Order: sequence, then structure tokens, then C-alpha cells
Amino acid sequence: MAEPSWVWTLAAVLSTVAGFGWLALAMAVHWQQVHGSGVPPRRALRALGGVALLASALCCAMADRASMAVLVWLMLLAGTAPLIAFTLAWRPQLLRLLWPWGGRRSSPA
Amino acid sequence: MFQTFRQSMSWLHTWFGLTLGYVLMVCFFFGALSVFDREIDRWALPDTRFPAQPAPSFDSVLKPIYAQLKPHPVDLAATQARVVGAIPDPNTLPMSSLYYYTTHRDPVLAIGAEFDIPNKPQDASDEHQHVHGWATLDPRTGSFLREGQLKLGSEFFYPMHYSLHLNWMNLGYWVVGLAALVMLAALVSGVVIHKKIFREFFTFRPWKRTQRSSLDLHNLSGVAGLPFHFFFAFTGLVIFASIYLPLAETLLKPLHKQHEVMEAAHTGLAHEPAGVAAPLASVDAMVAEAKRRWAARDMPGEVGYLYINHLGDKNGYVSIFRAGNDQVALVGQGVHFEASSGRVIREDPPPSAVMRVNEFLTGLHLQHFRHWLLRWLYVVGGLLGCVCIATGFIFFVEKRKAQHAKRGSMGSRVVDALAVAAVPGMVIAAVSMLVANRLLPGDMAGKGEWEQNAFWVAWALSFVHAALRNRAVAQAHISPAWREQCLALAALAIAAVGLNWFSTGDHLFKTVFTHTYWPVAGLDLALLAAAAIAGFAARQLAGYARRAAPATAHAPTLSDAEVQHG
Amino acid sequence: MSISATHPLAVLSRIAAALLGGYAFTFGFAALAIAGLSTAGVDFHEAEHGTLLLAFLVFLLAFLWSFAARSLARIWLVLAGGGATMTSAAWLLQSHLLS
Repeated sequence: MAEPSWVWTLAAVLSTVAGFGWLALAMAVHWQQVHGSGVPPRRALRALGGVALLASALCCAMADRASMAVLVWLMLLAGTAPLIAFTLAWRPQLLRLLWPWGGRRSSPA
Repeated sequence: MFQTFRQSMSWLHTWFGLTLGYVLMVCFFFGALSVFDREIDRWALPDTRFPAQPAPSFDSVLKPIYAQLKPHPVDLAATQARVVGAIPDPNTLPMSSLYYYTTHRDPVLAIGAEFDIPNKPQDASDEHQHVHGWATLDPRTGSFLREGQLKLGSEFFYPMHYSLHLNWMNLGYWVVGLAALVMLAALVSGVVIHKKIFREFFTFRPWKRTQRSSLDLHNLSGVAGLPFHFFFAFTGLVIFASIYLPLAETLLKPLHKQHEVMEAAHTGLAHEPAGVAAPLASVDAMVAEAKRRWAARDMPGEVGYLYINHLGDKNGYVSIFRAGNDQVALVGQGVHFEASSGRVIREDPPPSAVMRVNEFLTGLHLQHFRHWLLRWLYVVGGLLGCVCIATGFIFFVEKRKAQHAKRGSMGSRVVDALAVAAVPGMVIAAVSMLVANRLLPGDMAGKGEWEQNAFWVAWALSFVHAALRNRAVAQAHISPAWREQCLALAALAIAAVGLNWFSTGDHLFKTVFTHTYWPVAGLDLALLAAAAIAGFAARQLAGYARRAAPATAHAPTLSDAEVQHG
Repeated sequence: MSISATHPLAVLSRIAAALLGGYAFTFGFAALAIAGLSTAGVDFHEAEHGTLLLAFLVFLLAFLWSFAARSLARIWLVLAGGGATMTSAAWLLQSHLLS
């Protein structure tokens, strides 16, 4: 019931969205949907995505007791993945916010 | 029967998914509504639109109310059918146990009791010699809610998702149980036949052919929702395990009985009454003591469930359980008192590992905790389940309709009509019920019955309409019924919000800003969102139909079909 | 498709084996596990709850196996036969425990 728990929950939501966004950008198909051309810096994006998902799990653990936190985290993952997929389908340029540098870059995969 | 493991899984996925998918749609959709069942109740019963209340004082408020509680006519009739001889005047039956149950979302209080009957059972092994009474009351005044009003959320949508309201021989429970098993099998087989789980994790290509984009959406919703779908189907089975595998009541009954007697001796909570009359000490004092003990264990809380057994008997006891607002388990930390003295008999020890797993699994499904984000994510999960199944149907039809059109087979037409009834039709039925609720006068006798009729009639009409209008499918086109029912749904959803405004004065500006009341505002907003989505879908479908029309000059497109059917 | 020798009756028999045979097997498994755990001194309700959690996974596996396995006769033998055997064993164990 501690009040600032919503801050942690919000942080968890944001880092899940960012985490899945980065993981999607690490895939060549989606990178091209967002940036038009080029090759993604795959390793960096994957690492970022992994860290962000881990961070969201930690934020969930800070917000609620462990048994609840597991549920919140898993459901956040379930809800966020389609959100990223729909963004890629209809408004891919929004994902540039997560990684604005792209298009001309061609770092080794 | 099959060459490879993968083929066998594919066959199972397709055919069991197709046959039980309709049931699963119902489970997921009405399950998603059940997350907010109490809030839907508030919308449907305007008298109860006030904030959630903790349970009132037992001694001063509830005790006299229980004295007025009588056996419920419905249960009286059901019990009469099971016993020898006529049950005596229900007003004379002694109350042997009572309970109340409340959560942090309940303004009204659900109470109930068991009444002893002297009759012998027709079946000697039937040990259930009680008649039940139950009621809902306004804890602020202590008055009962009007009889005959249906709580649309918790008494109709919620049971719909696990019993389909088919109560004959528990048939609905078994059908839903089978569907849950098939859901688990469909998830496993789906993972087996899906080649690119990770590579296509975020893939959705609405610009591709319907067959491809529906499969994208099927995979996306299935994979993203996989843990949710698996655990909800699984825990649904676990919750009703004693119906599906009634071992303790059948084969292992002797063992179970022996255990009950031993357990009563161990816990000090008497299994049978003593037959000696005794008074009831102050229950409020016991509640205060239970709360003090919870606070001392660093987990202060409110009462979630209170139960008194063997009323008026020397062996009587009072069990008080803490509401699980802050945990996954529903209630817990029980403290048990001797009814006649208020002496603590026992404080439940922390549950064992097995029981904790069990409480966690059932609690995560029944979700009575206070966590609004998680509740909404559950709704999202349930809707993902619906999307997964619906796109499965569409994929099935899209894959086969050209073939079927060539062969003149009716298969895809039948599946398509059922799919229309299962997707927009089911939502139309639910919203029609809300519309009926606001149109029918509040004091109408048997109002709940009429609301249920509205639900079933609307659903049946949706199917008939879909079956009459889907000749286009036989020509390998999308049935116009999809678009028309989406429009009907949008209109009905807006009508429901409007009717709520006119009949109660609770418009959105009031329920959101000036007199904030989220239960009603939330449902109104959800209805408007449903209307927007349905309207968007109808526009998209109209676009498809226009693009498909010039390609095949004389297939019955929308306008042709409309002429034919008036 | 490559569904070889799929007489409708064979398909029906397989579906029946998956559902009814799978149920019989699960029922027997749960009965035997509860009776066995009770014999080993585990609290009845704990044995019951723990077993019923596993039982639905057992049913799931039996169900999937009924479609993956080749021999229809073997499926029936294992599921129905196994279910009956385990149910009887549970009954005997209970009688022994209560005598």
C-alpha cells in the first residue's frame, strides 16, 4: 500500500515497452520498417532490450510483493508485445524515438 | 494415423480448435468481463452506485439481518426434490451456519446461511441436509436489495464463463473443462507447428492477404498471450478440480471422511454440533481481536470472509479470514474463536508449500487483489485470447473458402456464420443485455429474466442474420454480415451509454470529473471504445468489399446481397 | 494430406481414446497418488491438492500422446488399462489403510 509504488509500476511499463521495442529493432525486418534501410546494430540493441526487460522485472518487484510482481511482469510482457507489433504495422516511425540513429549506418551484425 | 508428430499436432490444433473454439471464445470474452464483474453490477443496479464499504458491525447491524434471512425458494425447491417427505415451513427451520464475504470492490455485502432440515435424503449417501438462504444488502442501511434484480456482472457474465448457464448435470462445467483441456493442447500443438516463434514475435502485416494477416495475428496473440492463456486454462481446471475429478466424494470418500474427523480433533474446530444450546458472544470483539493479531504479524487488514458454524450450539465456532487485497491468495490468515466465549481456539499456521502453490494458482485466476493495472492487463489477456481464436476461425475459412467455392461445399459458410455469431454476435448479445437493463423499469417483476431473454434472443438473431447473409463466402468473398453486425454493435454500445445517461443522470462528465465514480465511468468508456473499434472494423470491411468488387464482376457483393435480402 | 488409412471409425476411436481413455488414466493416476501419499503419511488435503495440480498436466500429456502415437490398440491399452489398474490399486490401498 506504499503510495509511490505507482512510480515503480510506471517505470516497469515504460521499460517493458522500450525493451520490446529495442528487441524488435534488433531484427533486420523491423529495423527496415522503422529506418527504411540499413542494418541494425544487433548486439547493442539486444543487450539494451534484455537489460530493459530485466529492469522492468526489478521495478515490478519494487512495486508489489513478489507473488504479485511476477504476475504483473508476465502480463506486461503479454500486453506489450502486441503493442510493439501494432506500432510496427501502423506507425513504425514512432519506434525511432528508441533509437534515432539509423538508416545510413551499416554496422556489422 | 499421421506420418509425423507435427502433422498429428496440426490435425489436433485445427479440428479441436475449430470445434471447441466457440466455447473458448465465450470463456475468454466473458472471463475478461468478469475481471470487472462488480463494476458491471454497479452500472446495472443504479441503487448500488456508492463506494465500496467494509463489512459493518456484526453485533448491531448484521445479527438482526441474519434473523430475517430465510431459505431461498430456489434452493428450497431443489432440496425438496432430493429428500423424502415435505420440508417443513421454511420459517421454522433453524439456521445452523452463516457467512458473509466481501472484497475491496464491494459496496454491497453478500450474506448467506444454511438451515437444517429434519427430512431424510432419498439417496442414503447424500449428506447435504441443508437448505441455503442468501441475500445482498446495503451495509449503510442494513436493508436487503430488491429480489429479482440480476447482477449482470457477477451473476450472469461471470458464471457464463465457467458454466455457460447450462446447469443440467453440471453440463456447462464439463464442456468448459473440455474446452480448457483443448486450449492447453492447442497451445502445445501450436508451439510445435509454429516454425518461427522468435523470428515472427513482432510480426503483423495487415497489408498482406487476409489469410496471411489473420495468421500473423493468430500467432502474435497466441505467442504473446501464451503464459496467460496457459495459466488461465490450467488454473480454471484446478479451481473446479473437485467437479472434474471428484475423488474425495467418490472413490476415496472413506479416506476423506476419516481425515475430516482427525482434522477436527487436531484443529479443535468441531465437525459435529454437541447438541447443547449455547449463546453467541460478541462477534465484533472477535473481529477486533483477529485484526489485532494480523497487525501484530505486520499484515494489518480487513475481514474478507466470516463464517460461523454450529450456531447456538456449544460446539459453535467463528472463523474470521483476512481479505487478500494485497496478495494473490483470496483470503487467509484465519483466526478461529469459540462462539460461546470468544476464546481463540486456533490461529491458522502459514500454509504449506503445496497449499501456497494452490492458493497462488487459484488466486491468480480469481483475482480479488487490489491492483488496477494487473486487472486491465487481464482484460487485455482475455481479449488476446478472443483475437487468437477468432483469427483462427478466419484463417480456417480463408484457407478453404476458394476450394469450397469451387466444390460447392457449405463447410466454410457454416464456419463463417458461427464465427460471426461468436465474434461480433457475442458482444452484441452482451451489450443488448445492458441496453435491456436500462430500458426495462427498475421495479419490474422478473426483470432479470427479461434481461437474460434479451441476451439469448440477440445472440440467436446474430447467428440467423449471419447465416442468411453469408452467401458471399460461397463465392470466396467476405460475408457482409461481419460489417453489418459491427455497425449494429457500434450503435448498440452508444445507445447503452446514452440510456445510462438518460435513465440515471450519470453521464461521463459527471462520473469522471464532478462526481468521480470509476465503476460506471469505466464501463461507459469501455462501451465507447467498443463502438469505436466496431466502427473502425466496419469501415475497413467496407474498404475490402469495394476493392474486391471490381475484380469479380458478378459475384454477389455487398450491394447485390442487400438487394436480394431487402 | 498424408493421413494414411484414416477410416472414420479409427479417427473416432482415437478421439474417444484421447478423451475417455485420457480421463480414465488421469482419474486412476490421481486416485493412486492421493491414496499412496496418504499411506506415506501426507495430509489428505495436501495430497489431494498437490495431485490434482499434476493431474491436469497428466491428462494433457495423455491427450497429446493419443494423437502422436501410432498404434491405436496400444493407446487404449495404456490409457484405459492403466486407468483401471491404478483405480483398483488405489481402492486396495485405501481399504488397507482404513482396516
